[in-house]
Amino acid sequence: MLAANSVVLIASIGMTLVFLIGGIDLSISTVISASAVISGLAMAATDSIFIGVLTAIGVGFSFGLINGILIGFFGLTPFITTMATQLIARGIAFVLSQGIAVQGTPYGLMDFGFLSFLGVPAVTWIGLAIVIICIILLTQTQWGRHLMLIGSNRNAARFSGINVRFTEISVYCLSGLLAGIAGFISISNLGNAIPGVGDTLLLLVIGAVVLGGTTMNGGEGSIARTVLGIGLLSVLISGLNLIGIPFYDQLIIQGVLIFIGTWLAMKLSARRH
Amino acid sequence: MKSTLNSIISKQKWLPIALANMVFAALLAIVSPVFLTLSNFQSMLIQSGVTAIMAIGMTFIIITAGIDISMGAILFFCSALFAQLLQDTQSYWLAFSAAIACATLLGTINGVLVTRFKISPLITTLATYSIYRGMAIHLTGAQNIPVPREMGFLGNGKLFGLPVPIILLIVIFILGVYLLNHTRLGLYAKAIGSSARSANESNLPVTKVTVAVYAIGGMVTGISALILLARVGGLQSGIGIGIEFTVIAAVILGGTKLTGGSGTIVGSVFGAFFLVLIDNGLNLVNASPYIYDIVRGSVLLAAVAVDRLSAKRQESRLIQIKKQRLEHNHATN
Amino acid sequence: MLNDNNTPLLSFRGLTKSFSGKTVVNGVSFDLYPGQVVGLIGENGAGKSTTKNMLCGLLEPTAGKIFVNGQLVEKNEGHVHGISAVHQELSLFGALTVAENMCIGQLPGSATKINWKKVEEIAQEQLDFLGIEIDTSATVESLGAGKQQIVEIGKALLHADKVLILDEPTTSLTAVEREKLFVLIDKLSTRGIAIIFISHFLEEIYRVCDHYIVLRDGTQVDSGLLANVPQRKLEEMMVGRTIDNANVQHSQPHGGEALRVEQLSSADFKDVSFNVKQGEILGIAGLMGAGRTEVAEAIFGLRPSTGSVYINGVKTENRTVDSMKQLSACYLPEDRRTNGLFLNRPVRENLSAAAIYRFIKQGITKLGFAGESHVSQKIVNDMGIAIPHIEVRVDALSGGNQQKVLLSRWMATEPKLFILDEPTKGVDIGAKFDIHTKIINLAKNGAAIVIVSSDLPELLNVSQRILVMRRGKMVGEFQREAFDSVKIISLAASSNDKGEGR
Repeated sequence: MLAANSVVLIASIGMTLVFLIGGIDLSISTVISASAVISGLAMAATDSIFIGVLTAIGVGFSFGLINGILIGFFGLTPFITTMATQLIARGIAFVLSQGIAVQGTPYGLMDFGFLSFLGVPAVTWIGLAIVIICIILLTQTQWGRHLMLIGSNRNAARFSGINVRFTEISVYCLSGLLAGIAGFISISNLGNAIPGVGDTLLLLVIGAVVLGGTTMNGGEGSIARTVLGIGLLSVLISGLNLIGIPFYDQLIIQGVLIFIGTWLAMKLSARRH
Repeated sequence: MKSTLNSIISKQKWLPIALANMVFAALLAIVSPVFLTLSNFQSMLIQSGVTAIMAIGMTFIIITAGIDISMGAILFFCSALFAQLLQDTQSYWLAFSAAIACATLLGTINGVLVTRFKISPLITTLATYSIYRGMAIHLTGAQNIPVPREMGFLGNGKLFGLPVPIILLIVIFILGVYLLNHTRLGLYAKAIGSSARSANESNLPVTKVTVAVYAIGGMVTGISALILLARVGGLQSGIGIGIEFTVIAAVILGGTKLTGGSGTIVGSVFGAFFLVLIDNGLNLVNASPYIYDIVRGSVLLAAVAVDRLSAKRQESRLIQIKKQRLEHNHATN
Repeated sequence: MLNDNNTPLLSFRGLTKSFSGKTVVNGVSFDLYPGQVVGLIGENGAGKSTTKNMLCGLLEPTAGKIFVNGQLVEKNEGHVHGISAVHQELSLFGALTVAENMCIGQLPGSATKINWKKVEEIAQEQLDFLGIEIDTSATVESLGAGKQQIVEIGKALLHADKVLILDEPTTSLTAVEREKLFVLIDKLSTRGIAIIFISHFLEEIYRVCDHYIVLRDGTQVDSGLLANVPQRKLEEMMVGRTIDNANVQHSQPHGGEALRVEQLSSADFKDVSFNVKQGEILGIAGLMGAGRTEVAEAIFGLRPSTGSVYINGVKTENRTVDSMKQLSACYLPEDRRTNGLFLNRPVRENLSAAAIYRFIKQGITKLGFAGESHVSQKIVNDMGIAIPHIEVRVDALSGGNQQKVLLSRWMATEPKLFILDEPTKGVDIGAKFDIHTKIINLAKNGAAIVIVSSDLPELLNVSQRILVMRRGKMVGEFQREAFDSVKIISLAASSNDKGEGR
């Protein structure tokens, strides 16, 4: 459970950062798939986990870079741009894998999937480490401050001498990179690289972010809130599983929760100010 | 000459996609002899019907600066409800009317939520997407349900020598064009998308119109659902997944902007045609079906990039005009 | 509608409006007869907009009575009584055509069939009536600001054609467009429409109005026939003090040349050249749309231009806001909500946005913002920014405090050159005085300051030299000894080029 969550968790961190700068990255879901597939193929060819990790990160980063350049440099709309790269990434994942799970992942990877420390799976530790690194990046560095300010008011950022382009491109790169890591972790969770692994995650990822109260307008929200949103969602899901609620009813409850959560977060934010 | 062409294109935003359709079709005709046959054209039209009909509804929503991510889920819900009701009651009329009514209702709920809670349409319909899909599976218990063979009439049958889906598309197209261009609803929808503030200040029925466009989106999705169900031959779990993105792609290819205010039905229908044309072309060269997504994504990117470039050129032309005017002013002073 | 000239079209008695106990308008009374053009004048925050909103039915008065044709109106609903208003922010739809915009409130035909022919006719008739040639099938966004204004007036008059309220209608117009608007107002008045013209440009008031109402701090100072009062008297009534007494202790410019601009040209201005010395306050006067903001933005690389800019005698290349910051120059944009402030972020972050490195003491990790709060708090105290604490979101602040935050942000970069664009727009009198004092002190400490302002009294008060810009060109220069508001205004607004004052 926790292990599966770290895929969503890592992807949601990327989405949170993109939301905070006032954008959206719909491609996260299928970039997870694409990097899983390509990484799986690379590992099948070389039998090296290290190369697999590098490949996954590289693929994710490349997609992020493409998104970032199109949005930050050429000024295309984030929604359409990432919708298009979402399609492209999915296509690549399916073409390269011929639509089936990639075989031949190294044995060591399964061991890694079962590895745990202090009773907590290693992948969860990785997720936590990424959370902490990103929180530091966002709240303790100038880059993070610039990100928040651009999300709050892009024009004012430009008029204050903040490098809007660089920050914007880099945030999409980071979001892609995190999707790449999430893709790799999905292989270690499932034992295989599945071409459709990320497709259904988009709802969960955006759901977790908005449930945490980070709005799409930019400049308002935090990673900690997203972690809270994920916590809420996963407690809910495991609770519902426990009492035997079928997955389709869980979908209904999730939808309602996302809606009510967003609404409450909006009300609370309005009241605070 | 060039400037008149530019002004025509800037007013008739569907022209570029129409031209793209023609050029690409001509190209395919040269490459493949099969392409130019009547049956191929008919099958392409039928193929594009589902997306095109939904794109007409989506155009209204996007014109008000909204979006409906839940369309695929409405499509699925509607198919499930229809298949289930038909299996249980054997009554076509009941199943038909219930399915269409329900689709309209689900669209209306989207509209009410968007206007009442003021949460962005994207998030709102993302939430209802999850809810509607869950409800649909709940309804059928995650079963695949076949529909009777005679349902095929709606998908492949002919009326007055024309395939039924094409007739439906034509009817909805005409209604859509009329609604957008000749009724208050259409004008108000454009006004709301152009400036929500001005719409409120001018006392336009913003809530009513917004709810109405989402309801229209739901209703046409219901019709599309039945056509698709008839063509597929039964309810399958994957129906409608991701179709909202194809529909949005069709609308955007048709020259409608996500920022709202303007857009054309013709453009969206041509956009849907174009997507099918691409599929057809890939099919003719025996490409892997998995490549379709890559090509679609690239086409979409190319379309918005071209649009962006032409907007930039327009901008620099305006600056040039301004400069000339300034020179002129100083010369006369 | 029959209307003898003895009954006022609209009259109001003792109009008063309070918001949560604070009275913003107190006892405004006037009788408005057909064909009259009344100037409603006062400084920013004097209560003009609130009065307007009560008259057009957007706000319900706390006290006072409104009569239309001598009949007491219980609940004023503006257009129902023939009163319409054109607000500063136009309520037009950019993507719709001129005809659609004008008729959208009352579309001819049924809900399911709009009579487009009739729509065209109505719009064309209205435009003919206004005597302006605009293509009714053009989209509004393709029109210039002046024509948009006319479309809005036409739209307003379609719904209510007895009393027209125009709120600062000239702010975004070019000089030619302004003149066209004035001709139109004259024409409407001869047809018996009563007009309330809100402005703080007295020249405009004298040009179009016959009566006046002066507001100051929410109360009606005076009203009457415009022909009976000289402009100086009106100004004094607006400001509440004798203007000549406004006295500022300037220091002498005491250094080298801080900024020199040579032959700067772009789409909005041409061959602009000027310089500022260290310790000098230079005002740039001109009408809205004269290209002043564009010049400032070009100096900071925010829009493309040709020509040269020298900072402290050194020529600059590839200017950006950041590179100018390195050269100790800063620019405070005109529209602080759109281009200046991070509205949903706290005051602290807004203060440090341009110079975070001056706020923090970084340890070896180079992480965190230790010291930021401390420095921000100090700035807030020094600048007299009235807020409960530095974590308050900036959108909760008053206009004056917001402007002080913006000024402080840039003062924190310790610049030697300030370009301030409309530094006191929408700012209350107290904060305005504070900001002026700050500016003068900055100059005394050796900073070079350029103030772009549409508020001429402000420029006359603060600056040592005034440049006048008109339609993208520098057209005049005045030294402090030769300041003359009438000359400056006429130079800024005239349509011929005499090069007065050079």
